[in-house]
Amino acid sequence: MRKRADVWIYIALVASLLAAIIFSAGRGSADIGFIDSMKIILSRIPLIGKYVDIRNLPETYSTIIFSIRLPRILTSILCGTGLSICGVLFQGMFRNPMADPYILGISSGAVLGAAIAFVTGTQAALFNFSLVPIFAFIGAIIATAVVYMIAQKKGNLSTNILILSGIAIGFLCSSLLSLIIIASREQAQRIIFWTMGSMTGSSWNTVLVMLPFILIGSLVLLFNAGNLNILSTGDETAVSLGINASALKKLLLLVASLVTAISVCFCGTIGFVGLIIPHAVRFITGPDHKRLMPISALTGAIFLLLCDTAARTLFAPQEIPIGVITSLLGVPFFISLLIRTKRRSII
Amino acid sequence: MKIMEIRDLQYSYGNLKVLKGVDMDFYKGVFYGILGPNGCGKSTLLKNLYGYLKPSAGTIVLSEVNIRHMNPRERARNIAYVPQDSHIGFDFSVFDIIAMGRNPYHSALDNLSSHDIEQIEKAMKETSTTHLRNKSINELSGGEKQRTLIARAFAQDSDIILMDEPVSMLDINHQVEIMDLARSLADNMNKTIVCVMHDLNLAAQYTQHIFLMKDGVVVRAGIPDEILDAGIIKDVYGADVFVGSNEVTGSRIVIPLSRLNNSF
Repeated sequence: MRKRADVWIYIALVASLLAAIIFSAGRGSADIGFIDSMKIILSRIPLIGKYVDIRNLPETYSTIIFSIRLPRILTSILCGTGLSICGVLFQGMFRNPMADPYILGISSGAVLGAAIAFVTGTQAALFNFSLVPIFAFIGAIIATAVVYMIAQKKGNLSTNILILSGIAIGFLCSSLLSLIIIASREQAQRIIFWTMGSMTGSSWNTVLVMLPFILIGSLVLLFNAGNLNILSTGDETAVSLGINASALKKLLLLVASLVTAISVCFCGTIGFVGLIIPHAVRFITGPDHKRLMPISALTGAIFLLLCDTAARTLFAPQEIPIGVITSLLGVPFFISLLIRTKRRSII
Repeated sequence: MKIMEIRDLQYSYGNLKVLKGVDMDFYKGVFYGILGPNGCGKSTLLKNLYGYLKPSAGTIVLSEVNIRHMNPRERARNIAYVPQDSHIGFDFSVFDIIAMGRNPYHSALDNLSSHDIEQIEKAMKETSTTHLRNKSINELSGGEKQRTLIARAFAQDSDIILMDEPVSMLDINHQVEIMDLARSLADNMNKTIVCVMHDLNLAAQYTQHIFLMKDGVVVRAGIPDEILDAGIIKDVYGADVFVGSNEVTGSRIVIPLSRLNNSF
């Protein structure tokens, strides 16, 4: 029964995602409109394409959609997917509803890594491959490891200390980042972009680099959804049920740090997506990660795409950093969560 | 039939030696109590048995196979564990929780087989949790929660079930309910129950064999009537007790004596 209901949820989400893509592709300084935008996108899809007539639409529309808007749309989708599944993972694994890559300081670690690579000139391509993502990954891993070690006590994680140490490490990284910004005036602009989050830099290249990481990361996490269910009931229980908890946690943390780092590299730090989405979805699906994970991935993709569309169109031609929008939505959500947790613990 | 043998088991947390050479034998279908003062290593012993901690030295042999040579899933098919801290943060249903007991039998992507479902239904029936199946684990009372966790261990279909103070959080009515359930698993289902306990009177009433531990070693082992002796308890716990005989059950009864001089 649950399975049949799920099919409808997936159909609705995929339809919404497609609609959001078409809507977003039409919005902007050149206002293309939903139907025309749909026609232009369909015209490039094999098999269907030849039946779609776009001869009456300006050539430039096609260029705008395919060269500018679509890469950005896909980047938002990949980033939203990545951050959401990482949020699901962290909340489940740390048994803490307030965990997400941003609050745990992992995003900040990644930005710091990226910024270091950037200003020290190591961005010079090594074997034609930028070192920025690698440094971002190292930053994310170090931040994760430090937060984890601070919070760990005799094999158990203290959830409050986890959040607090995450916030502390986040602050530390931000401070170091400020120093870097001051020290390197010319590149300050680019680094500030990272701290606030933006999809402005996205291109087809971005999409091609992000896609394999997000895809493989998602598959690994999805494959482990059942294990994550058990892990979310506690390490000791997980071990007694035949799961090598410490090895599994290390693997999942590594994957999540990688996904976070790759998202941060191209989109900057975007807070609260990994917090809001898993929560909202858990209301509907319950805690089963086999449902929570894929549904959060789709919902996160739609959410971030709409946020980015708002970011670039609300005050056009001025862009709002997308991190500002997600924080504006996320902070009230976070506070309401705190209040709810507080009430629960008093009772 | 001997089912598990522990020889010279040692474990240290850093420099702190907690288990200093434990020897125990376990037989099928027997209810064992592990008793001893706080910090004597009871819980650490259990953690070594279900694999959460790795022994520093010594062996644990399960039906002729050293546990060291088993992979985690194999071990979990032989030993199940009912934790003391039953806090589960997320709202899993009772069915979902019990179904987790089937994890050692299928890979991460498999759905529950009809055999899995059968075992889960059997576990629910045996622990009277069938009517709770769709309830959230967090809506349950302490006793219901404990029954659910025992059901999960039962669904694991292992010969041995470890329990860490399963009734310490429960009122007297639910204590009896859970202890009855645990004993019936030994008597009727031929499970070996290894139960860490604090309550000497419950131990007297329910266990068939007691290991009394102190400072990381077993100091006494035997049937409750031998072990629950005022002299031994004074030695091990340092407490003065009166040990009598329970007229209703015929088992030993232990009454702690106050150190105040007849002040009440």
